[in-house]
Amino acid sequence: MADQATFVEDTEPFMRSLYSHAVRLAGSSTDAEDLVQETYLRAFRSYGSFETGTNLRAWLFRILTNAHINRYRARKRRPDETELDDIEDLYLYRRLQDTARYGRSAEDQLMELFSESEVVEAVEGLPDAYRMAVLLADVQGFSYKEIAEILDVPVGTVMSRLHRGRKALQKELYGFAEARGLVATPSD
Amino acid sequence: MTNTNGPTGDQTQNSDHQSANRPDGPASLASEPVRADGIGPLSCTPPLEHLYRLLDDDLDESQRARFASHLDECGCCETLLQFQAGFRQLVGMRCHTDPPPGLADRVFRSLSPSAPLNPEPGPFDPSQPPD
Repeated sequence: MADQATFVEDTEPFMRSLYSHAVRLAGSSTDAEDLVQETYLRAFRSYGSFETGTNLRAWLFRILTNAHINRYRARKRRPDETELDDIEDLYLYRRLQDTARYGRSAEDQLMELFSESEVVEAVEGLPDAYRMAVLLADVQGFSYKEIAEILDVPVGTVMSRLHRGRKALQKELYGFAEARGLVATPSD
Repeated sequence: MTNTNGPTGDQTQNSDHQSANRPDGPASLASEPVRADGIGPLSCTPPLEHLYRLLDDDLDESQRARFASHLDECGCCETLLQFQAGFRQLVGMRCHTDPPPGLADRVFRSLSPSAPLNPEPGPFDPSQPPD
């Protein structure tokens, strides 16, 4: 058993990002808090086996990921794995060409077009495996190699999940913009 | 072949996906040999995966340099890259949720060798969608 003060000092800086990730995985703040609590308890118990100098943040995210997967298995709330349909590569980019305005950054335009609740809804609608990959890369900024370790899959799998997950996300978001009449419905 | 086809061209996109790994790819970069890293001569619309690897910082120094010099010459790739980078930012910025006050206190107070490892999951509530 690790010294509690050391453990707290080492791991506290990561709680904010772990909680944020937990909310997107678990879907509610109550479940997210439970998940973070379980993660820290598990981490505390196996902290003795954690190799100092290796990636503590990735290690904690791995524990959280496994705890989340076990909970879903126990509750059987979702199918284990859903495959995403194949979506064309530049789905959103092509459709937003007409709405694009020069002189403004793509980021500003996208931020204006999509609200927080829409992005969150689209992300939470992704099948678990894809959602985790997208969140770990785009929100948490982990490298492919780190994501591979966290999810315990090969790097190639990480890349393909990211690729497909991002496309699916873009398609979903375009649907929201369309529904709000912000973009024209394509004629094709 | 000049870079007149925008990323919106279906033909361009498909053929470039194949040509990207062939030595006889687009003229602008055809002199560059196919490399063992799998990133062949870059064409106007490089496979999206390559753009993602650039954005996700998964390319080494020389791969990045080659990409950068292509982007200098190719406005449509640069635009596409900006778009994908903007999208990555959008997701990153919109998906953050701050923890509730007191979370760290509650979590660290519960650390004890005898605490139950798996807090009782709440009853399944069908009215509450998983999302």
